[in-house]
Amino acid sequence: MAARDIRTGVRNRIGIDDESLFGLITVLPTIIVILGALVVPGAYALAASLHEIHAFDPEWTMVGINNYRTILNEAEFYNALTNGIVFTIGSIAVQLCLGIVVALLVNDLKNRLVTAVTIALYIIPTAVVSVVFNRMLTQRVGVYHNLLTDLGLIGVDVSIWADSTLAMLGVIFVGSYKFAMFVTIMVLARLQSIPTYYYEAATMSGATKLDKFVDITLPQLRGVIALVVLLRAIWMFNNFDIIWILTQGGPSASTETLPIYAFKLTFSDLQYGLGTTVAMIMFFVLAIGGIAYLTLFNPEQDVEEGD
Amino acid sequence: MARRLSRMSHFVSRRVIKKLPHDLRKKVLRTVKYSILALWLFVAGFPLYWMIVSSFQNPSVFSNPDPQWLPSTAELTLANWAILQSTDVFQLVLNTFIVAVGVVAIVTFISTTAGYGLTRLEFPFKLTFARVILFGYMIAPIVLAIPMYIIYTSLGLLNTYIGIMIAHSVRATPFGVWLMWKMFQTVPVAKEEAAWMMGASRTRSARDIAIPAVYPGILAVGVFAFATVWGDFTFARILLPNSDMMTLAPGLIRLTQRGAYLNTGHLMVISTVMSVIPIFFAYKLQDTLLRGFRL
Repeated sequence: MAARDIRTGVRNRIGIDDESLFGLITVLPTIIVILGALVVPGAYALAASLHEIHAFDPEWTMVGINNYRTILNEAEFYNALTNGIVFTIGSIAVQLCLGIVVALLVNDLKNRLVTAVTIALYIIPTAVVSVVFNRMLTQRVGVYHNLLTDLGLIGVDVSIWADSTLAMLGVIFVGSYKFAMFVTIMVLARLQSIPTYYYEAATMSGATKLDKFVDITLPQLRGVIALVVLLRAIWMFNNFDIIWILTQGGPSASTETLPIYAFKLTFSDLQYGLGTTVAMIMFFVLAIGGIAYLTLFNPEQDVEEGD
Repeated sequence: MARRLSRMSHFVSRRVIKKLPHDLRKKVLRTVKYSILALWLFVAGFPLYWMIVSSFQNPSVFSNPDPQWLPSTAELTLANWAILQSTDVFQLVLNTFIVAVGVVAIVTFISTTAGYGLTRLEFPFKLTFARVILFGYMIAPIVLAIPMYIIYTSLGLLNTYIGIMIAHSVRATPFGVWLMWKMFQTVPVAKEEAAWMMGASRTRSARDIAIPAVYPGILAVGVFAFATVWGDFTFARILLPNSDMMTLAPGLIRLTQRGAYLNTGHLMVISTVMSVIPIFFAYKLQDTLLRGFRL
């Protein structure tokens, strides 16, 4: 609060003191961006989802909630929803296990190269990861396909992207190669902020490594793990690129999740109204996640600390 | 259960580990650590290794039904790298850079001002603002890209640099504002107070004292914004459908579909180029980036 003592302004004519005015000016550009690129498209999607729209016809026909009714009667919608849930749960399970184990290892090693590899995997473009894995998993000539064949996990003639179960497993694992590193980065950031004197005090009292892990590390990580599960669940449920690049939703819609379904409705079927309806449904799921996230996250605390 | 494990660990520690000589214990620990390190680097790094090696291999290698883990020197060639001279690829790189530079400029500017305001100033609706920022952090590109496509079609912003820059800005801003907020908190307010005592205005103290102190943060925000653009597929695929305007990620995917003209080696050249910059940043800026993720 120190800043206030010196610089609390005199209230001006419109009843806002200088500090508030200056404060609002500093966040104004952010507000403009958020308004222009988040709120407006959101509102527009909501409006569009209530209309019947044809791609080359500027005329919108108001249909109320008919689009939602149509979508909720489509078998494809439920297929996409189920696939999305399978993909999300599978991805979280793999990413969480992998991510936490790697974070603990990397933190223990404290090696700049290892940390760099970890962060790099997360920021390498998804398109690159997908193309590289796609080539490595190509039937017969791919390195990983051969490895899997040698291990007896799949037959020589099996193409991963042509089998519905394998395709789903494939998108989950390829996605996890990149996105597990998000878990690692978040957990690593938290691990590095645990005060070392916790461990020193435990060592003084004769705790073993296992004791320290169970009684110090795990409780400290509980919050960040909950946060990561929530964020990754939202992001994997709404993930478009990895699945689109690897399978385009195939074979026979077995990896078609809601984002793929919305994309196809909008750009293949040119049903803008139905496409935005699915986008809105995804947005509602996101909003529910968002409320949970804000409750978990508690920005009040940071706002107070931030002063 | 936990207590039993703890008791067991004490037992093992006392009876086995502490009985060993100190330097042996250290040696074993170091061996274990470095073998884990090697294993991790192998698992994580193999696809990257394969990508780089493939970019230097003869096309005939890619139809070999028994792919080799180590390349034979006879098959190594620089021929694939000639693809970088093609105008198509040059246009992709150029487009990506133009968009990235614009987004980096927008995002670093708005994050720095907002970060300063959030740290130093009291203003109404600060909490609501923080909430909206956090909510923006979770938004998925596909949810925005579909309505944006329809809006942009009618506004004529489809296939324009400015259109995609707006879309990317909203993705990178929440992280940027958050990181700058955290960064400004590390600058003691006393330094600015000293300047105010000398008669400096708030703008002056922010410009000359607070902002120079957070340069690493600004750099990290810039890198994050750059990486957002560099790696993006969804926005670019939907908002830049024209092949002249395409950026690297959708461009790479488009090239994969022209199998006859390009082989795996060519694709791996482009993939390698796309990966080099992220790897460089990850190595150089890891500490600041990690701080940004400390939510």
